[in-house]
Amino acid sequence: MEPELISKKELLELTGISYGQLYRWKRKKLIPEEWFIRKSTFTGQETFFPKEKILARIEKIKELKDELSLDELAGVFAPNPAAVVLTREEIVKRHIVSDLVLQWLDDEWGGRQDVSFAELLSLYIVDRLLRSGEISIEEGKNIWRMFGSHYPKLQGKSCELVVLRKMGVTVSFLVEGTAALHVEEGAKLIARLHVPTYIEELKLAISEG
Amino acid sequence: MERRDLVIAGTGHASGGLYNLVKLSGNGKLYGDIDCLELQVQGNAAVEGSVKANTVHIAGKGNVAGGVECEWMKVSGSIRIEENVQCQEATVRGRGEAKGSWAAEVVRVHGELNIGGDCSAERMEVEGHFAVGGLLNADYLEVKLLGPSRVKEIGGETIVVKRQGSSLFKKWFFPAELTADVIEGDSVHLEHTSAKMVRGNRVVIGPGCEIERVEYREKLECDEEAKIGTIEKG
Repeated sequence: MEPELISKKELLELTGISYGQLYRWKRKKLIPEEWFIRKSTFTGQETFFPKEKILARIEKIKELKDELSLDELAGVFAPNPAAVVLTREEIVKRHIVSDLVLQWLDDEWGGRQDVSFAELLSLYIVDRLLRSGEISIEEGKNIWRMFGSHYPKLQGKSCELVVLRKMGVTVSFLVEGTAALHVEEGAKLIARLHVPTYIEELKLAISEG
Repeated sequence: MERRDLVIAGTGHASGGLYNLVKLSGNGKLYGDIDCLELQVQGNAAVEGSVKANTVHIAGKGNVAGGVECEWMKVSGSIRIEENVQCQEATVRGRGEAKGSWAAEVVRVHGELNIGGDCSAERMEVEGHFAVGGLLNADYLEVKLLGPSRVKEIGGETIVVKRQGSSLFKKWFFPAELTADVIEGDSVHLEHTSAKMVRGNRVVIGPGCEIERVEYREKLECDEEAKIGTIEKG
């Protein structure tokens, strides 16, 4: 499951950005260090990027760079989210997650009003999975609990959420960084989500509201 | 906690901590991390920890065992930092050395600069010689070469490397040349540089250059005395 790579030269041609912009965005940490993958080729050392991620990121930077300053943009893309606390009302008002998962929150915490960013993130990701129809409600709940108990340890680091199912039994876990997964036969990879992508989405959803 | 002044005149040592002004004249040593508004050194100073300050002014010699985080740094003499540097504006006249990375808005160097890791700046001006172990990432880089320099990679928008006139003795023993693996920028002007790869939009390869491969998009100018392996227009 190696992600497809794109060379720096191809990237610049494809997106029409200049070296100056690329290096400036790197300096401002809009593009994470770990996406710069060095490989030796016949012309010497070359830099490659994970194609899908970098193209999506550059699209987003281009889209937002007129409205936000580079430093504000860096805040959007930073892996450790700002200390955001939303109230239940605001979440409902902005339609960030469906009422169904909000109901869990009420059941579990009995009408608590403040929701932190990390708590909201877990709900948001599970909500997205549920909406995609890949998982059942019960599975979603388990994923949510797993996320809630393990994600705080990974705070600030890039990680992936993996959901596997074999013969009706579902297992979910978090992987630090981006590792290649080799799964036994018969097991189905239900979902593999890059968590920082959802952090960005969620931050935008919050700031737009 | 209240910030108080710390003044050492002559020889002395003190512990780190929270200060307003730290003034070391003569020979001073600080044990532990210091957090102050202003650090002034005249003479010889050693900090056995990290420095956090608004302004750092060193006239003489400074040694920092940790990192430096400040708004404004001015060195006349030499400074040696064992870890990372982060500052808004740094001016070094003499010698600057950081084992880790150096991140700043503006860096001005007259003399020598040695950075073990990466260096990033919006604007960087060097008159003298320098070495960067990793990537030198600067929006605007202007180098006036006065001695042998080495950088692993340079990237940015405008990159200008020129040679200042030097004596015959220096030319033989300390050739003012820059060596790099990769240089990439929108506008690249190089003189007396050897590199494996130069990529850019508008590229000027001046006298004394030895480049294995040049890739350009818009324009390429080559000096007659430059040696270039392969050229590709992309």
